[in-house]
Amino acid sequence: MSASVELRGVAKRFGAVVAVDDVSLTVQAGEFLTLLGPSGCGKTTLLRMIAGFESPDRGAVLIGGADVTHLPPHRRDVNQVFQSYALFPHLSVRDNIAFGLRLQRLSRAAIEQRVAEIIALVALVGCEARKPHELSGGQRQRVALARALAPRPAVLLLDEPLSALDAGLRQTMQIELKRLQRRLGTTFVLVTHDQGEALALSDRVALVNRGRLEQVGPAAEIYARPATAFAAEFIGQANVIEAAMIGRGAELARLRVGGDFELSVPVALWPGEAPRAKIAIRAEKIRLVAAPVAAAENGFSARVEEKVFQGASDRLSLVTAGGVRLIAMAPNVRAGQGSFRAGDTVWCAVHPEDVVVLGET
Amino acid sequence: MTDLVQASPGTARLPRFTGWLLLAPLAVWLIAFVVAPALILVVYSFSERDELGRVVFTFTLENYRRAADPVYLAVFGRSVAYAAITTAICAVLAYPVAWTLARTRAPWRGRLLLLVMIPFWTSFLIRTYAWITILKSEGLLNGLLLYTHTIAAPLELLYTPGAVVLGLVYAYLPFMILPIYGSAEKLDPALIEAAHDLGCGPWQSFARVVLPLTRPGLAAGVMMVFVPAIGMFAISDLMGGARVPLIGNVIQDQFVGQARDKPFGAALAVIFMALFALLYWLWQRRTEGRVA
Repeated sequence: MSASVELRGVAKRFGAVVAVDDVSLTVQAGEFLTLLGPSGCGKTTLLRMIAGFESPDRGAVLIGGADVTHLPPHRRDVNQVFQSYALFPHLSVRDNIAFGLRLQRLSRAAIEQRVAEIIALVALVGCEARKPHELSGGQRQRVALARALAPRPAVLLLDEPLSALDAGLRQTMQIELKRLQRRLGTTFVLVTHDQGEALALSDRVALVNRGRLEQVGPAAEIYARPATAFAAEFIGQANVIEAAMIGRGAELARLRVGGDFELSVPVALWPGEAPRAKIAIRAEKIRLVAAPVAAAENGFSARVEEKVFQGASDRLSLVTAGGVRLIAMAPNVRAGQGSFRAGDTVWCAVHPEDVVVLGET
Repeated sequence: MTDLVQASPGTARLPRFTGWLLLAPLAVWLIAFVVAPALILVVYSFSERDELGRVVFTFTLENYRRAADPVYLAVFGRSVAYAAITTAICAVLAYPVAWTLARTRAPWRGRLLLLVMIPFWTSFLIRTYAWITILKSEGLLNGLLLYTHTIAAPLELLYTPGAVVLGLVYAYLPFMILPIYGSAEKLDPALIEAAHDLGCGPWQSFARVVLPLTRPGLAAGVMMVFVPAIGMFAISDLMGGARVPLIGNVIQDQFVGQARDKPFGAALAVIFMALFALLYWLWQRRTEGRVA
């Protein structure tokens, strides 16, 4: 695999605000990479740098191995799907899709053929003559996608492309987007603040926070082994707590968590000789039982403070005797089966391998 | 509009008494100062004048026959040409200004808009006389050029066709800037980015996206510049001298000048009105056709 997009130490500030701070990132050809982060983290600025709408103050942008840092957007082999779609309101679906092709000075027959091909690909047959305002949200989304894909760009950039759709349609479009990317083999770089979208779509996720890359890797890897407290809390639901080493065995280390209960973790995960470190426990990795758990099961007790019904599971806010607050999930395995209620005392069991030790104090 | 009315049947009715009452001042004004004068003009245009220039009410087509005289057709052609050139120059000058205004952020946008409007604070005649002071043989511009030895003898700037067009452009430019600005302001900047993204250079994105999407503003600007420019008489009078009479000057001459032929002036005016009405109707039909 070769590098399709490469950012080398790019930085950008707007006035006093540092939007992007020394980011280096390589996107492989044919890869689906997601820039994930909270709003204002700089992910959109990164995307706009690749598109050419922003030029970095420092660093370089490479596309297909060529330095394009100073090339304007219309000379770059990338196309973007805009958040608002930015469809040309005065043009029909067909003319919107043909827009980029006409600028490539292709023959009329070649344009017609490509437009027909791409309209079939995104399932818009029959809508060719309509204007954007005559389309539904989902159809507009497809036109935006078709328009950007028609000129066969090396890289497709997607700026929160599904955020304007309702939940059901969003899921359908996620599946379609993934299918399309696999079929075309085009490099996709998607920007989103929705972790679900990032997990569902991407080969790799680049987690962006405060203008920097927090962690880059396959979604499952970031989920299982978050490198920082931010990564642990942004993807999935995690309880980040401070822990102190109180006993070191051959395989397991004993920790005092939050100055309260004790847990064991594989000693190999602990950062060297550090006396304290932050640990993360995923909400769904806490197994809840009504009866006391054996000490060997690595558990502690807590009181249910609040229960939020979420359909597939109940989201419980727990407080331990020492005042440590935790979020846990109680799956609704069987209908009618008594879950926990506020005020109940529950026993929580966590497998030592499921405790994530974040290398920070 | 009609769709909205049909969608909610309760509102599909004529304005009630209070509605008519609110409309009354406008209706009275329109009848007194637009409909009635227009009718008087139409009646005049079929009348004759006596030796003293008084209107004699008869029915004759003589005035319209006279209007087809090559002398007047030439004046008419010249008026159309001047107005067209003025409109074209205004459009070319207005686009960058309107575009800049639309892309400027809050505090500065208001200030720049004010600069466009400030000329209206001074009387139009005073501003035209100011141009005369600048352009005349011993005026400011010639003085400056002579002083810097750019030229040896004063240039003849005033009382030329160029001076008339300059005066017209100066007078009507804001009427082109403001409607184009109104259209440009509504344009989503992402559309321009999309055009660039898909391979448009600056000119192509203007031709393919900006121009078509600001066409309503441009059309309004063309109406607001072309129509008054074609009938303007004060500028051609003051800045063109008697050398470049426009149709406005000819009409004015029939009513208050030496020619003193109100029926003939009325006929010319009626021809004009009919022509504009026709143009407006065609334009309206085209835009409606596009929407439907």
